[in-house]
Amino acid sequence: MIKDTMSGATASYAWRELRDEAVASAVRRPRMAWMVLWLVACLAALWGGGWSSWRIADEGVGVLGVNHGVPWGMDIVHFVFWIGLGHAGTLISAVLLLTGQHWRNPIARSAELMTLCAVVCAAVFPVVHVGRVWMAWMASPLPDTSGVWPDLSSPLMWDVLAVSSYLTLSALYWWIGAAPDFAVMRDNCSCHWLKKLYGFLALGWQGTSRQWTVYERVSVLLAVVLTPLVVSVHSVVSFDFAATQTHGWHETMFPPYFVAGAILSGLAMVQLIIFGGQCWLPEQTALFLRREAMDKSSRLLLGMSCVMGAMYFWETMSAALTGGEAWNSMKDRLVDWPFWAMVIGNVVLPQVYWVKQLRGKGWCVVPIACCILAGMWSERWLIVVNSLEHGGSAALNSTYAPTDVDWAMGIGAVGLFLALFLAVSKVAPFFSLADMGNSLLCHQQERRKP
Amino acid sequence: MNQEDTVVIGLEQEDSWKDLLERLQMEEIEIVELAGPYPHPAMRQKTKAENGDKNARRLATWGVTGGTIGFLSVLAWLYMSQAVSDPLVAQGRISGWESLPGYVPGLFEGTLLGAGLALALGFVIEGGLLRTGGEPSGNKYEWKIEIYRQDREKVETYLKTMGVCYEAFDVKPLTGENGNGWWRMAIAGSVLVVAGVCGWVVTNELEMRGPVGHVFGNMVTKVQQDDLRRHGLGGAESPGVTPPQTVGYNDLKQSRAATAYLATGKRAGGYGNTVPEILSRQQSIRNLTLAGKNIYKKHCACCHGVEGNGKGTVAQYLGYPQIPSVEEPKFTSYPLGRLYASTAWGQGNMPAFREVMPSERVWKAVLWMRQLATERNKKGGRHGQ
Repeated sequence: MIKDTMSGATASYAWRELRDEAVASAVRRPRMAWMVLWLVACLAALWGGGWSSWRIADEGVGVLGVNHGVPWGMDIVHFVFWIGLGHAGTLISAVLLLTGQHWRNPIARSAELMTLCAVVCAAVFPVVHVGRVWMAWMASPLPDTSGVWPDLSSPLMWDVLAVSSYLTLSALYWWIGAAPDFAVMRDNCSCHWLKKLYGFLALGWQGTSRQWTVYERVSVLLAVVLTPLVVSVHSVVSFDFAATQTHGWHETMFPPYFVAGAILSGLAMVQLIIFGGQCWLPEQTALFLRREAMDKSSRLLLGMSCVMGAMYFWETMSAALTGGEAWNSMKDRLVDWPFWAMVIGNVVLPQVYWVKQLRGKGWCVVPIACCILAGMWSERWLIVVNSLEHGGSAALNSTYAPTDVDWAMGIGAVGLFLALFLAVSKVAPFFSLADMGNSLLCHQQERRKP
Repeated sequence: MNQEDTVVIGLEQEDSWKDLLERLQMEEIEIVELAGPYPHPAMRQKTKAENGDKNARRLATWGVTGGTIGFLSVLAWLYMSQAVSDPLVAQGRISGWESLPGYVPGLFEGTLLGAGLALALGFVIEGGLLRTGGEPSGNKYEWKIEIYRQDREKVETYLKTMGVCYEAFDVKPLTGENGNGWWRMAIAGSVLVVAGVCGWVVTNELEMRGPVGHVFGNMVTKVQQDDLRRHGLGGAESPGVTPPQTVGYNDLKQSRAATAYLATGKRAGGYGNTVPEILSRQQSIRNLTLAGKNIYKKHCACCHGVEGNGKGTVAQYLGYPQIPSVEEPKFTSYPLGRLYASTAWGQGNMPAFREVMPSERVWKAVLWMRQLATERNKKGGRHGQ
């Protein structure tokens, strides 16, 4: 993982450079551009998320665009979108650890952080969209005043359990993985308050041989626990739709459809974060981020894109073969702009990654990643809103027009994600210091072999 | 071992640390513990050689135990929701345990959650975290070797000969037997439990959706303001409306209190048990009660039954929760204001009728319901009859 220009340097030297840069980055005053971006993100989160949530709770769900025919709108679109984004982070940090893919080391920590921030953003929507948020406790395993417990055979309750588990375990995986790094920051940081914070987060980490052995074992075991979550969480989210009778929802292919789409959108976000890291932390990324990480992530993205193309094809063909109302709904969808945004963004554009030279180019990767995110958002719109607008019953057919509160919630979620990610990555090391040290050492030992 | 037995040698560079390690092994000087900022093969070898990886091996047990507890917890939840506490099952309307495939996702997620939480706890315990008391060494000496105090002189002589930058620390041992960090976890855990209980109490719907419901204003205070305006008393948000000249300040204050009781059923200190004065001034209680009969038949009888026996047509649907009869202690123990509040703002499965009719009509329906209870008690009526 050491760049060729550093072939003469020892692992220890290279690691100390990384450590010093990480500490300096945490301690130094943020740049003006960072401050402006973070403040704008905070304002967006407060206005879009905070104020809109208050309006929904105070005035009721009538401030949203939902109606009898389309009871689920942009809140659910955003919920599914953000939950899906988090899956690639867990794939990179957990699944690729188990498969021994060392190219993920430089990007694993930031991918985990992205997962955490994305799941926090996602969790806001199901709580807020019910309107009477003070009743959200009824989803917990406690009986209500009628003595009735929440029904665990309902897909909505599976969703509560799945998302709560995912949020909790992702947070724990990130914290445990970063504990040694926080210890390094604690020992090297000059700022008193940051030292206290790192000391708390480090949990008393000393870096002894016993602790490293336990650390390496728990990383693997937690990865074993998180790997099925990558598949199960978004499958359970898909059951919110697949377990109903609505046209366009009641499809057995929804679990893999959702999971593949989630990984696609998450990988696009990870690539954006990598390029963001190269802009904000050029010294650190110059030391350790190689083209291999971009190349392999682009190839994985290409694979997922092909899977999504197949899914869209099967979905269209199954509607065509079914005929009737299913095909009528599909025909309307085929002429609607979200469908083509979805196909172009998710299937057509990523095909450029067949060309090897384009996989690591920023001018190619960044726009394609943005188009993938737009395409995946359009896909969720099609699934949630378009299917409900063609309810199959004359009484239920209606249109959905998002209100300003709907849009504000979406903007607020983006603001919340940015604010959280920027704030945490300012304080926590962008790269995993422990993983990078280990990788540098392995690389050095291989080079020294006769 | 304790602090007096060992000393920690801190080194700046990994290469010097590795060289010293090899020297100590060559001279057969016992190494108590090693430490570094990232894992080193020498650490892994030491741990394996001394069978020190037993802590790591126990982690699998933690995971399996946690997963089992998670599985059983969700199973207990299922048991409560599908068999024991479900009134529909208790009434024999449904048989319970009807959706076996539907229980799989919950059990699966619960198992993973339990395993993950247990692994996190195991990491803290098996890794000796929160028990360590070692002090940060400063930014130079990240590579540490802990040796016995008796070997200190020999090691320092060697290091001085090699010209290596080092520092010897008389800190608590790296093995962390003297730490006292568990109290922090206990405090954090207690704070979480207390916060959870407070949150549940505050949001609990037993008392008209709790105080949190009032934070959002329009469910109660807006209605109160509407009632005040309707009775010509103005309100805090309608300064343009002046009360009638014949109403003095004290009368206005009492009128506001009376209207508040009309709207909420509450007086200072709790629920009242009288008919609101605003209504009793307009009509006799007998007439109010009779007026409530039609309102009851139109809005309430569909569930509570025309006779008040809880056997309304809607309540007969399979799957609908059973409704007690009006003479049951659950209803008769409520003061009149409480009965009004439950009807107006909803309770349990009952919707909030204040959203479909004004307070006066709700009070009248409540009076009729109380009348039905009195009559049924006189006749010796029982649930289901």
